[in-house]
Amino acid sequence: MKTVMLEENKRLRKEQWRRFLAFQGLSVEAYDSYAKKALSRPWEELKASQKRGRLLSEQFLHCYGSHPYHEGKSYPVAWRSLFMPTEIIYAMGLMPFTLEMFAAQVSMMGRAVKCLEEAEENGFAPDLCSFVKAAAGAMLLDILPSPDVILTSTHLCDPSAKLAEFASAKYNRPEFVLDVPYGAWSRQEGEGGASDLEEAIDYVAEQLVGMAAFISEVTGAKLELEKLIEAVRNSNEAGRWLARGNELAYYSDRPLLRGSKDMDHAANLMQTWGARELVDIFRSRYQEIEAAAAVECEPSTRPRIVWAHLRPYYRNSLLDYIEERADIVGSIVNYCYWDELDAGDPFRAVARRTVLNPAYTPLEQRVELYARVIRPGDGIIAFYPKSCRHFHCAGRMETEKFRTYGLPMLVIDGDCVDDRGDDFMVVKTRIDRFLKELCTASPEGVRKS
Amino acid sequence: MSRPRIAWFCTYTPLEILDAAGLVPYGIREDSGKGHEDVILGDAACSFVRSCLGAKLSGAYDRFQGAVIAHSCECMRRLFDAWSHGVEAGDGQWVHLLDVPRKKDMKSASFFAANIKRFQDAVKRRFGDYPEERLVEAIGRRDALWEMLEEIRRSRMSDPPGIRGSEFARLLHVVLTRPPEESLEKLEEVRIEVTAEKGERRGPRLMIYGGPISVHIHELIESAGGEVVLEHACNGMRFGRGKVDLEGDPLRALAEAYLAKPPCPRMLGGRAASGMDELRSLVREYRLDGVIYCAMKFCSNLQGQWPLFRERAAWGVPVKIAESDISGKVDPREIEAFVKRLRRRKVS
Repeated sequence: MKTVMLEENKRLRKEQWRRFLAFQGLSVEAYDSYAKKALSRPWEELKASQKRGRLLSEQFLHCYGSHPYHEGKSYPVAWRSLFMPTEIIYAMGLMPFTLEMFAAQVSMMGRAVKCLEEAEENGFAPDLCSFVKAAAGAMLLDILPSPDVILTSTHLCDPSAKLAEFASAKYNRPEFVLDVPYGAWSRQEGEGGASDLEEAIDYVAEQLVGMAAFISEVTGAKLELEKLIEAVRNSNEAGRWLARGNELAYYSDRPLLRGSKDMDHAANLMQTWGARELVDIFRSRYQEIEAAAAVECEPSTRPRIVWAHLRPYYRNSLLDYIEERADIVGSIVNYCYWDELDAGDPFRAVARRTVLNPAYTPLEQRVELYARVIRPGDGIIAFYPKSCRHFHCAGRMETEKFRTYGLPMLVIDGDCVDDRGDDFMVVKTRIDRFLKELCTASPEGVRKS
Repeated sequence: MSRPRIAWFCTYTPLEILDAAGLVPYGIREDSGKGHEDVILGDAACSFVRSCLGAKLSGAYDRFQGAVIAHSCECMRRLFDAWSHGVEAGDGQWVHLLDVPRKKDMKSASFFAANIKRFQDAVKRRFGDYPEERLVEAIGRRDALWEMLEEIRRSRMSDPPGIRGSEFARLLHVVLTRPPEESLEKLEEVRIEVTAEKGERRGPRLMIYGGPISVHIHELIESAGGEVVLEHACNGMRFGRGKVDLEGDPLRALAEAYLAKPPCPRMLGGRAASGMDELRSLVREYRLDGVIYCAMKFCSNLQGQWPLFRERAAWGVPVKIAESDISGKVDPREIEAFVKRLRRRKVS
C-alpha cells in the first residue's frame, strides 16, 4: 500500500510541476534549460545568501522530482508547518516542503494574488493569514507537490495548523500534530522551576519519537539514530557560525551586512536545520561579515535598526527606503536563542529548542528575553501582518514594554504576501518620524552604549 | 457573605477546581463586555477577546476576584498579556493562564493533568487550601449537572423539541454563571416542564455551529419560522464533558474528560477528525434540516475550519456560513432566506 501511494504521489508531482510552471507562464523545457544553467555555477563560488537560495531551490525541485541534474531521483515529501523542526525529516531521508515558504515565493513571483483569490473564492476568509491563504489557493489550484506525509506543529500559528488539517483531508494523507506547550520560558520561572520546563520538553520529545514512528509507518522510511545525531551535529555547527556572525555584525560600529537581505536567512523558522549544507551557508556568512569588518572605514552615525518578524515579499520599496536612511543591524528571526543541542540525546535536544522559541511565550517574558540581547538605543521596526493575531495583536503592548528598556519600537501594519492593501506613502510618514526620533534620542545619533 | 467569583472564558477550563475552592466560576460569553476595545489589542483580534478586554478596562469585571484564561487560541494568549498590561489593567487582580493541549491522547492527557495541577495549586495559594475530597465532590456535582443538562438537550431531539432554542440558551446562561448547586435546582425545575411540554411541530430544525454565540441568532431564526435544536458552541454542547472516571487520579481523569468533550475548532489531529464524524451523527440524531455556521470575524480557528467543514459537510443538509461578531448581529435577510429555503426543502 505504501509503495502504491508513494508511486502515485510521484506521478502526481510530475503533473503538478507542469501545472506550477504553467501558472507562471513557463514550459518544462524552458525551465529545465534555465535551471540547468543556474545550477551549474559551482557552489564554492556562491555567496552565503546565494548558497541558501541554491539549497532551497534544489530542495524545491526535488519535492517535485524535477531536479534537472537528478532526473529520476525522488524523495518522500514531508509537508511541514513553519516551526516544525527538521532534523528528523533529514535523518529519515525525506524532503521538507514548507507551505509558508511557498507563499512567500509566489509573492516574490508576483503571483500571490491569484492564489489568494482562489482561496477566498473557496471559503477562506479574507482576514485569515495571507501565508496560509496563498498556500491554500495553491492547493486548490493543485500546483503544490502532493505530500507523502504532513507534519504540523501547534506553536505560534493557529491558521497554519488548520490549513494542515485541510490539506490532510484534501490529499487524503495522514497528519502528525506536534503539540507544543506555551510559555516554556515562563515555566522555568514558576513555582516548579526547571522541572516544569523539563516536563514540557519531555512531552515534546516523546511526541517527536512518536513522529519518527509515524513517518516510518506512513512512508516506510526508517530512522537511524546515527543519522539523527549527525543532523543535530550539523545544526550545532551551523548554529555556532550563525551566532558568531550575528555577534560580529551586531556589535560592530558600522554595518557589516545588508540587513534586508540577511533577514531572509530567517534562521528561527527555516527548513534547513539538520542539512549539512547549512553549515557552509552560515560559515560563508560569517566569513563575509569578517571580511567586511577587516575593511577600515568610519563608524556609521545612522540609526541602528533591529528588524522584527519578516518582510513584504512582493515588489515594494519599504526596505530600500529604510536602508537609505538607517542600518538594519540585526533581525529577530535570525536570533540564535538556543544553547548547543545535546547530540547524545537528540530527541530531547530538538524538543528543547522547539519549546524554547521565545516568540511562543507570554509577552512580558518575550520582551525581556529580546531586551537582553538588543542594545539600548537601537530601534526596533516590526513588520506585523494585520492578519497575524499572534504578532499583530501584541504590537501595541510590545511597543510600550520595549520602551521601558530604552528600545523604541515602530510597528508597521502590513502584509508579507498580499500587496492588495499596500500603501507605502502612509508607512513612509511613520518611518520618517520614527527615524527622526532615533536620531534625536542622543547627541550622537542613537548610540548610547 | 457572597462567595468570590472567578471569570473564565473557555470551555476547556476545569471548573471543578474552582468549585472545590468554594469559588463561583462565572462564564464570560456573549455578554462579554460593554463595548469593543481596539486600542491595546488592535482590531485584528476577535471581537470576543476585544470585548472581554474592554470590559476589564472599563471596570465591569471588578466584581470578579480573579480570572482564569485558558490558552485556547492566539487571541486568548493576547488577552492574558493584556489582562495585566499597563497602568489601567495592572490592578493586581488574580489571573491564571492555563495551557491546554490541542490534541487528545495519553501523553496530552498526562500533560494537561499536570497543567491542571498547577492551576489547582495557584487557586489554593490564592484562595486557601482544600482537601482532595472537596474536588471529588465538586466533580460529582458537575457530573450530575451536565447529565441533567444533556437530558434537557436531548429532549430537543423530538419534534417539536422539548424546549425552544432561545429558552435553552437563556437557561444555559444561568448554568454558566451560577454556582453548580443553584444551577442544578434550576435545571430540575426546567426538566419537569420539558417533560410536560407538548405542542405542534414547528419549522425547519437547525444547528448553530460557532464560538460563543448570542441568543440574538436564535431569536432571528425563530422569528423566521425556524427552530434551533442544537448549538455546537462554547455556550452549547461544547460546555460540559462526559462523566469523570474517579477510579484513579481525579486530575488525570478530569484532563481526559475535558479533552474528550465535543471538540472546539482549536482542536487538531484525531480528536478534530472524530469531531467531524460526530457532527454527522448529530445531523441524524437531532433530525437537522440545516446548519448555520457562525464564523466569528478574526477567529482563525473558526474561519480556518470553515473550508473543511464545508467540504466534509456531505450530510445531506444545507450549511450556511454567517459571519458575525460577539454581538451576534448578522444580516436578518440572510437568515430569513436560509430558513425559507429549508422550509421549502422540507415540504418538498
